[in-house]
Amino acid sequence: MSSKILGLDQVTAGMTLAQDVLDASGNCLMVSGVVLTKKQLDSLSKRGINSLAIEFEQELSAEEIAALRNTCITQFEHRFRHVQDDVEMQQLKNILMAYRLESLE
Amino acid sequence: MAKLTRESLSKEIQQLPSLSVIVTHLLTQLQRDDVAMAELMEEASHDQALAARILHIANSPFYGLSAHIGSLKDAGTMLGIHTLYNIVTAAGIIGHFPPAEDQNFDRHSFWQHVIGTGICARVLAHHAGMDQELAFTAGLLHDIGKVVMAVYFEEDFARVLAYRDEHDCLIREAEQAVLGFDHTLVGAQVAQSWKLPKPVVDAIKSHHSLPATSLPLAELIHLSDILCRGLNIGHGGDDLIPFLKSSVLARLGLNWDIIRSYLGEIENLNRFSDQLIDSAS
Repeated sequence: MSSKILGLDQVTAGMTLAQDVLDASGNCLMVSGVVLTKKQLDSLSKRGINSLAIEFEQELSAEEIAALRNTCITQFEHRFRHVQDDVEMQQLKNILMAYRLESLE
Repeated sequence: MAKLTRESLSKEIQQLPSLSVIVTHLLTQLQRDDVAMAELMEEASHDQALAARILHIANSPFYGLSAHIGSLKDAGTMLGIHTLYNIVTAAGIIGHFPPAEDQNFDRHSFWQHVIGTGICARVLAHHAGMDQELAFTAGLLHDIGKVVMAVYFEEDFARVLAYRDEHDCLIREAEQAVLGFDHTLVGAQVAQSWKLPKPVVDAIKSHHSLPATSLPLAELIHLSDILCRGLNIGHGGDDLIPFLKSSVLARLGLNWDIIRSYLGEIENLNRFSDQLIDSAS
């Protein structure tokens, strides 16, 4: 069993929480071991939670890593959708995306 | 509900609730040696509601302090006066606005965006040899016009958001199309009415349309805003990235490699913002 910190935008319903999520007062919002639902993820997002520790049965398979990378890349393409013809903005996108993708390696 | 026009704007803004005396002092105090900062915190401790919020934040698990902090003086000693300055100014600004649920303009994500921009500006200001507190303040306030419109000019702002959704454009483009002006003008006038330092007013006013003359703080905020949007830190009211003015990096003595080297630190410092916003709202 291993765990990985993922940005909330990379977490999908069905993943398992590896660590408790606490609010500012130290109250436990969600306990480790919970299998996350879409509704819970929305609620965490509303509470401003950016990242979660997620459990993985074993090391991520190549397919799972590829899927996470694809999600990440799709989100970058979406945010930069209006500046695709601009060389400098593409450079910015590539730098930020490379930084994000590093955490998946 | 007042309707905003370019002509009515400054009169409308004069009628808005004024900022508390202590938050105004925090934002306008430019001398920030340890003694001056300690005096400001002493002053802040007299505002009981603000002091209580700050202690709540300082005692949150994020800071991982084993001892309970009971006074702002202790908070300054334990967290460092500059971290405390960030917390106090952010809590003061967030607490100034009545909280609201708006599906089309999520307030929590908005505060995340401006705190993120402030932190990014602070980190890069250090590299560029600029005033870090001023950089944080300018980042925190750069989009203040948006939240002022969301809170006090709800109907105008709802039309802006509807236009944004319909045209898939930057919120600023929607503001210009619907109102004939944008949040930079609203924000600059609000900052002026709060009597904030001129560099902060200029940064609010010019962070999207930089003048030909050098305006380092505005340039820093222009860049920091774009980096935060790129990294998806919070949400400034649209999910697009404005164009980066190409001269900005060189003018600030930065390049992509330097910026890349600071991204981890920016994200790490930014982890405090969730709890701060929850406690301050």
